[in-house]
This record gives sequence, C-alpha cells and structure tokens, in this order.
Amino acid sequence: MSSHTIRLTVNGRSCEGSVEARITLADFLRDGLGLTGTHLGCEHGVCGACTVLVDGHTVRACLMFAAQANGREVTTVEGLAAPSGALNALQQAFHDNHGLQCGFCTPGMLMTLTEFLHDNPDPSEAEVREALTGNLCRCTGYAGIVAAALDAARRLRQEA
Amino acid sequence: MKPAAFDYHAPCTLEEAVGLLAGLDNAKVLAGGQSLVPMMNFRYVIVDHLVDLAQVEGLRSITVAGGALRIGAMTSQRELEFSPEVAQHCPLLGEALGHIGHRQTRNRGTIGGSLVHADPAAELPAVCAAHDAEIEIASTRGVRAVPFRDFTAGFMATIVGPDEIVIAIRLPLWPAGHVHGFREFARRRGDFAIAGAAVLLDVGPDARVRRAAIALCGIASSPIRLGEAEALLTAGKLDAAAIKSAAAAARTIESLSDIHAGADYRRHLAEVMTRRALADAARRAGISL
Amino acid sequence: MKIENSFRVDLPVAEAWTTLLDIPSVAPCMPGAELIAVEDERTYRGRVKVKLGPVAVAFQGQARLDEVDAAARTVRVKASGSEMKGRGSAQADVQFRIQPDGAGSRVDIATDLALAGAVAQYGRAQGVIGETAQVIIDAFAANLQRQIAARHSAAATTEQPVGAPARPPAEAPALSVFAVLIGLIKRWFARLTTASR
Repeated sequence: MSSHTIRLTVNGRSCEGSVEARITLADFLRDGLGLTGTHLGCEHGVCGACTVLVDGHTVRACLMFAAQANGREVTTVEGLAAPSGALNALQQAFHDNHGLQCGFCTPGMLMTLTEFLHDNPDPSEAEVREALTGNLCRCTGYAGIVAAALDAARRLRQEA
Repeated sequence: MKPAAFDYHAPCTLEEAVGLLAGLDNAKVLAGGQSLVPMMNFRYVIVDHLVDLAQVEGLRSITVAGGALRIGAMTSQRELEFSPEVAQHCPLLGEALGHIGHRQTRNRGTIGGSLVHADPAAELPAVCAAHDAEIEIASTRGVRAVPFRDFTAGFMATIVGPDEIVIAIRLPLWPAGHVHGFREFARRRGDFAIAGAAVLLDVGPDARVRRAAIALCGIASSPIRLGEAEALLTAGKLDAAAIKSAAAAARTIESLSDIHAGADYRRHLAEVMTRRALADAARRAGISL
Repeated sequence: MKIENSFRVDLPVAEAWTTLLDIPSVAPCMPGAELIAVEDERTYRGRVKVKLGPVAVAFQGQARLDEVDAAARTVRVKASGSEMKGRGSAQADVQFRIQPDGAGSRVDIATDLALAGAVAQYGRAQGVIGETAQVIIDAFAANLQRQIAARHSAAATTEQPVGAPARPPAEAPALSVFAVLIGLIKRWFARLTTASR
C-alpha cells in the first residue's frame, strides 16, 4: 500500500503529514492533526457530520482521501472562531437560537452554512432548509438550526 | 468503516493515466469519489489501485462547438450548475443538476464519474439519454466515441473497459428556444430518484411539436427513452390531452422493483413525472394547459 | 434466489451431454472461471470472478456433480464457495437438463442460489444477479461454440485428440464478456423501449 507525503493548509496553518493511501481526509484531520471537531456519522456521504471546506467549498471529508487534499486549503469547524476563542456570528447565532443539543451534527451544519451564507447572504427560510438537506440532525428537529441560520444571515448583513 | 488498502496514483497527463490503467491489475479510476468511495468504505468495492484523474490536464472544460456542448469528464457538477454555457444551451442539464445529491457532493462529483458509475437512479445519464449524447473514451489504443444508447451495459455497468477512461461528453444542442422539463420523485430531497423524467421539446409557434425526447431514470437498469410517447407527441399539437396520452405510455414499461418501491408504483410515478415534466416544458413554451 | 437460464449448443444431444460433462475441457469457456484441481471424478475445486455492477467479487470453492442421470440427461451440481476478500459466501444448487433442439441441443439451467454476508446485499434491484447470470451463460455458450468449431476443424486435421483439454485449465478472457455485453444491449434495449429508435 502506498504512502504519501502531503502538504496542505488547515485553518490557515501549513501542515505536513505522511499518510497511507486509504486514510480519508476526515481521519487525517481527526487522528493526524487532532482536530476532532470534524465528526464521523455514516462514512458514506449522507449524514453531513464530516463536512469541511476544501478551497472554500463544502465537501464530505469521509469521501476524500487525505492524499487528494495535497496542496489544498482546508477549513474545519476549529477555524471558525477568532484566535481569542470568540465565536463568530454564525456560531453565536447557533448559541442564541438553541441551534444545537448534543452537538454531533453541529460542525457539519456550521461548515455548510458558512459556504451557504457566503453565496446567499439574504436567504429565505425555504432556501435555508434546502441548503441543509445534506446535513442530518437527530436532536433538534431543525427549527433552532434554521432560526440560527436566518439570524446569522441578518447579523452578517448588518456587519457588512 | 474504512476502505481496504490500495495504492494511490495521481497522474498528470492522460497518456500517463491510460498507461497506468493498462498496466495495473484490479485498478479503478477515481473521479469525484462521491459514489466510489462510499462503496470502498463499505468494502463493497475492493481495489488494489486507484488512479486519481484530478490532476490530469484537459479533462475539465465546457465548450460550445459544432452544434454541441462538449463537457470534459472531470468537470464537477458544481461547475456545470453555475455555468452560463449550460444555462444558455442545455437548460435541461442545468435543471437536472439541482436534483443530484447535495451541494457537498456536487462540489466534488463529476459528470464523467456519474456516467461511468451508471446508477439506475442517476439524473445525468437520463439527461445524456434525452440528448442522444456521445461519450468519448480514451485508452492506450486511442480515443473512441460511443453514442449514449450503446454506452450502458446492464445494471451499473457500461462498455468502458477496465483500461479505458471517459474523457468527455458531447451533448448535441437542441434549437434555440427549445423547452425542457425535469421532474424527479424521491422520498427526501437529494435521495436516489425512485422515478425521474427528463424531457426536451422543440415546439413551433403553432404549438406543434417538431421533436420530442423523453428519458426516464430509476425505472430500469439504465435510462429508458419513451419512443412511443415521443412519437405520439411529434407533429401533434401540444396540449393537456397530448401530454396525458404521452405520459400514459410510461405505464407499459418493464420496471425495476426493490425495497424502495415496487414495479407498479414506479410505473405510476413514471407516468406522473413524465406528465409533470411535459407540463413544465409546455408552460415554458408559453402554452397554457 | 431462483434463477433460470438456458443456452443452445450446435451438437446433437448425446455429444452435448459428453462435452458438457467434460468439466476440465469446458471450464475455460466460462468467463472469469479458473479450475484449480480435480479432486475426484465428480468433485472440482476452482475460482470464479464475477462483476456485479461496480463490484468485482471472486469466489473460491468446490463444485460436485451430485446426481448424474445419463438417461434423462440431467445433472445436479452442488457448489459452494467463499468470497476471497471476506465479503461472504455463496451456495448453489444447480439442475442442468439437456434436450434436443432441432439439429442441436438446448441446455436448461435452474439455479437455487443462496448468498450470505456482504455479497447478499449487492444488486439493489431484483433481477440484477439473474441478468448477470444470463450474461455469463451467454458468454459461456459463445465460447463453447467456438471451442466446438475449433475442435471439429482440428479433428479434421488430426492435430489434437478430441476430448482432451486443448490447454491447461486457464481463465477465460474477460474481453469475450464485453463483446457479448455490447450485443446484448441492443436486444435488451429493444425489450424495454416501446418503439424502435
């Protein structure tokens, strides 16, 4: 089995690692870099818990091999808050709107909404719900998540 | 679940890629990975080699030439979704893309990968069937072009050999002003289609149908063209009655049956999706039903 | 799972019977099959590689000719094997019947197939395994015809003794399966579309 040296940027910092070919990006982030915010729910691309940004676009980290991320810029949930630890507007909105209970789906929700709100700063509720179809939540019934997304959109528009 | 061990190759040229496939045993091509990697994670698919096409030059492109839209096989579904050329020249493709999986899978998934994976429920093969697409396939022996109707070969199989790579898809363009419809039934948004209909119509100013193409996904192992329905519509006036009888032709096809839906239900859905897609197309042609 | 298939062979019934029972000789005609050993006159060990859609599986196991009825020209074969990468196992109870069909013969095959483990979940829709079985059997029949034709012309020049394996047991080329698949597409498409295109 082949081993590969990969160099990539994760949350703005350069990282290097040596990985077996079959190690997924999710496993590399979690086990290789200790960034356990990216969760594994299904490992076949349907639950969205492993969603991260690669070159600014959401991907399923469980469906990408770490070797494929060579030379890429990866953003995980750990990269959302400020260096001081202050939550960003989206995270704060989740906090304020009960957008999470157990928190397992939350990193994936946040990464999906990060891309979505960047592309759609003024979404309708229907558009938010459509955008979240690729992220499953077992706890909340999605109401708090949708409210958080709309609230975050409002805050981000005000900041802009 | 973790995949079994394999060797990973990342060639930079097509020549290198086909050379690798010709020489390696039990190798598979990696395109977007959105269908293949889940199967590897389940260990349904166990390969000794993966040949990643991500860095092969010349496989990502969208060009209009010679009356066709030529799409490089590694073009992502996302790129197609946001492409002005697709929106202008192949609106059926544009509409079908919104039904494929989710944003996160479309960001990585490719058109070539979807066609070669050949899931019976997949939308892109249905669009290719409706357009009578041509598939360009490369190997160490050169490039061959295969019409889409000869491309599929049974359940989740195509005529692409183990040492071949799909490099491009050509969609012959329909006349400017043609209309389209795409309707899919799935239990949840982004789920595999239980039945889907892709429709292309060229309608004259007198509401007469000059040409019709209707392709169904989810019903059989690969997309079906409803030849009878197309014949019923052609040269006739496009109205509610014509749509109803064309859609009824969908009831006579042989259908798959599985835990998601039995054959009868799929046939029923095929008729309903065909009728709705035709109605969408008619509305786009300015015909009130 | 019950699967029914049949194929024709251009040999009179008696000759078809002896030809098909000469397992080491006909095994190379089966795409993806490899005969490893002959344990006794009724028991054979081998490997079979099959592609079910995107999944390539390989079974290793044994097949035994259980009930051989030369008068009725029926054979019952009991085969079992395990998937070589741990993805499960298969057991097949196969009834062969050879009947006259014009100048040649028709072979009817009724298979009772039981899959266990991961392989049991492949083929999401009914008929996939049956469809694959028919493709393999059609390829087998085509290869067998070629072998018979070659043997007849070889016999005419007395180059090799009839009945002995032409070469050591080997894997049938996968390319023959693709050639059959392409031919099958048109027939299968015609079956599904309601008007010719």
